[in-house]
Amino acid sequence: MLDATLLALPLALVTLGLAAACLDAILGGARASAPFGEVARLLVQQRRRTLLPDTLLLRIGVVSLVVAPVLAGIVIPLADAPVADLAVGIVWFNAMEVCVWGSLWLTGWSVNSVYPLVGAYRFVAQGLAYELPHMFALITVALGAGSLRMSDAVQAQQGLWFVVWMPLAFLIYLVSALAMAFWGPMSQPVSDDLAGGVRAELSGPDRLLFQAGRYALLVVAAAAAVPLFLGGGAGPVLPSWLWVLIKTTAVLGLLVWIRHRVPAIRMDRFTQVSWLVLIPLSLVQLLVVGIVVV
Amino acid sequence: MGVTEWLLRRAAGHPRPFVVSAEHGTRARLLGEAEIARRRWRPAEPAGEANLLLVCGAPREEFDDAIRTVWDDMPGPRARVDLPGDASSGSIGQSLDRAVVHLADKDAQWRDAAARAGKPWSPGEERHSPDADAPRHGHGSHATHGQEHDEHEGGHHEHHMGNPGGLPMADRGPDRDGLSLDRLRVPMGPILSDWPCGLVVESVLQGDVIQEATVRWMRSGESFWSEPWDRAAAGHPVTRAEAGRRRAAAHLDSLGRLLSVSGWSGAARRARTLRDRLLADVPRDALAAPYRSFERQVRRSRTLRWMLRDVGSTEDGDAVSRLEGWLTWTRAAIESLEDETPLDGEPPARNVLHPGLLVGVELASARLIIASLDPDPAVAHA
Amino acid sequence: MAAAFWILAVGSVAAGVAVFVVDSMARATFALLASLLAVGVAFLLIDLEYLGVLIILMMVMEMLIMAVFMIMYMMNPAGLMPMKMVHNNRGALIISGSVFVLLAAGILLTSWPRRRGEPPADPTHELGLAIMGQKMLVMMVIGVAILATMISTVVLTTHRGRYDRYGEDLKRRRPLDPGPGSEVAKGPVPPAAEHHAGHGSCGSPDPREDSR
Repeated sequence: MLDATLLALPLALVTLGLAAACLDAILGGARASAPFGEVARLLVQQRRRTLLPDTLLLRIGVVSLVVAPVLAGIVIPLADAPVADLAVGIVWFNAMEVCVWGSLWLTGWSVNSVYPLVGAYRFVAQGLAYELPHMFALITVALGAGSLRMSDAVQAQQGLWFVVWMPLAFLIYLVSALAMAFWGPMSQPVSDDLAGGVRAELSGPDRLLFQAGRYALLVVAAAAAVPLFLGGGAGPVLPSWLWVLIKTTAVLGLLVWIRHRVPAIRMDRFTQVSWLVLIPLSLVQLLVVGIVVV
Repeated sequence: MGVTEWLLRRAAGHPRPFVVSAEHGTRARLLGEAEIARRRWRPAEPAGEANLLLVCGAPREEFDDAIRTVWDDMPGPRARVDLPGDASSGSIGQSLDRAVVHLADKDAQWRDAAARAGKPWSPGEERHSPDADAPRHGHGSHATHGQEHDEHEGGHHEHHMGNPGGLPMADRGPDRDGLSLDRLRVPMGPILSDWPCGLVVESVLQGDVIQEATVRWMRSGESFWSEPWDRAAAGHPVTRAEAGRRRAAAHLDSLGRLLSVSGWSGAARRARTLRDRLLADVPRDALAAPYRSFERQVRRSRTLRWMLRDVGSTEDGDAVSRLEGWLTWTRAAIESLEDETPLDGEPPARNVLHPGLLVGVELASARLIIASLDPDPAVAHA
Repeated sequence: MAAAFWILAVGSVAAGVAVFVVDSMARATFALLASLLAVGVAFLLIDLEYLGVLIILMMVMEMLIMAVFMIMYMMNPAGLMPMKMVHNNRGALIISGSVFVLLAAGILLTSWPRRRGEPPADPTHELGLAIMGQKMLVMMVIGVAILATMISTVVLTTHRGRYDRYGEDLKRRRPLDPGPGSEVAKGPVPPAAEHHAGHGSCGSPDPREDSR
């Protein structure tokens, strides 16, 4: 049903994104309707312009931050089938979320300002730190499923969900989901100690697109955990699309909650852990899975 | 027309306030923050997100210029509230209500925007005092990053490459790895989120590592936190309970700032709520348990320890030891909230920010060092 | 299909030309990225989905890292100064033109084999078998070994060793790194004359100056 899923994807992204924003507002002590007020405010806000910006790159950066998660989401099975069931769905998902590196760097660079530039470079450092463990986690899933197709990964979890016998890969995936959406502990690129980091000079419609892209990225990262580790739409009584929704909401809620629970992690200290601890752990997990599968 | 008004009204119901504390503004700032928390507004942590500027106290001229820069750079619709240092809770509430009405007033906002139209900033014009620019808006800096100086081609490389847009390009200098990178002059402060208001750290950055730093203040010391001790020294009867309450609130204020800069917004909010309740004269029994659970949560956090370890190491310890010191002192102060014996002794000393601590440190660590010291000019002028 | 191919081909070449035409190093890097992404998408047209998506993935990451180095090492990274960023125009054009003609001639004049039979159900799998055949395990081990080698190389190039970080008898519990900005960690700085890695890619500040 191509048409239904084609409409369902952006609808799901917007709805879940707003839900995540509302949960974040409540946990942050504000009212639940705060995100709607913020959207209204950004729609009427003046756009800010700095001295000698690179406008072309800025537009590309901000728009690609919205487009990348949508493209990444087309391979995620929403009920039984995704919008486009690519044979290399897992690699496609990875490729689209890597495009966010480009978006953030371009946004931070183009506004010609110190704090956004520092934020952009922080994100590049963050990307280097999280990407390898993330890729190994995805490879582990592909190995367990014997295929790079997301729906094959769902099929392979008929008996036992991957989260049960690949727990390390799931944890590493969650950490990298936080990092890819620069959320919570991994929000140094847009953190308040840099006056907002990459989005410091954005205002009005630019900021709205940026925030929308960030939440869409968070939703897609949470949604991808479902077919990869949590069995897709499998579950007893309810239809599969409802199970997907429930599981996605659970992971999304966890990710939003973590933001208020854990301090921000700086990359100069995290890189050591990421490369010296997470990569060997993910390789060990890969080895275990490889032995089981073979 | 209807759409814009409707959006404006929705937006005005959720303003994003940013609080600036100037000379003698601490009392008003604390009341303002408590009022904002009571209304469940989301403070705009970076000033760039704000549309409501709350100025507490009476800023001196240089600081006033900085505030005006922040105000000028705030995109419309916007509102500004100036609170005198002795504002009461009720008057603060009324001012905030008036600001909300102003934010929803389409005609006023259009007039405001029209008055600002067509005046883009350029470096040539004398905009108040240039070194008071909050770096947040970044006009005063060029984003050229590092460049390598090619030794072979000697001669025809000039150091001053001209002025695109009227701003000189950054000069180069050696850095800690032996490269020759751009040196960017960035004044941090005086107006940043979770920053000791009025502090300016004039830094020279290479990348995001501070190579040189000078510290100066745009306001004089704040006597609000040491008020009980000052009154006791002047002869008035002051109990230890009062002093303990003020001291606990001071430490919780600093803790809130440090936790917020560390990125732990949940704990920062708890600290600030406890501070507001302390200042609202909530009795000890209602405070002891929440404080103890907050303290447990912060002490147990291994991530926080990991991030703050060896940050700003002096002979007295690093950021972790300062954090723990504040927690211990606050607990002791809360324990003494029923102690009616008269007060004697010195007010607790504030830490001093030595610029040498910031040299060689990257921006995030510098912010953490300053937050963990939470300096105040009263000590510097003593 | 043919239309898509020609659009991608022209786009790729145009982006490649843009790399040398634009003044801003950031734009040059991303023009290069656009060119390489067009190549990656072209792979998708011939059903090599895995290779195509992999090219997109790798190129984005690599061009970001290259952007960091371009901004660090090149003069005029934002293109704000009117500066000639290319050297030796005529020589370069002659060489690249002749190489292009050579390659184009080779492509057009080779007798390419005709397709026999159907494309396989899983081209990625077949491609893997064809390239690596029976040596798949060796290849995977070598892949991990290459990763280990790269990491070791980076570790070896730092001029602070174990004894600097852990103390003379390797007893220190936590390593002493420049991160916290301690005075000790600011080690011996090599003299500035050492870093003569300039490979002539700096732009000439004088637009009228002829390239040497």
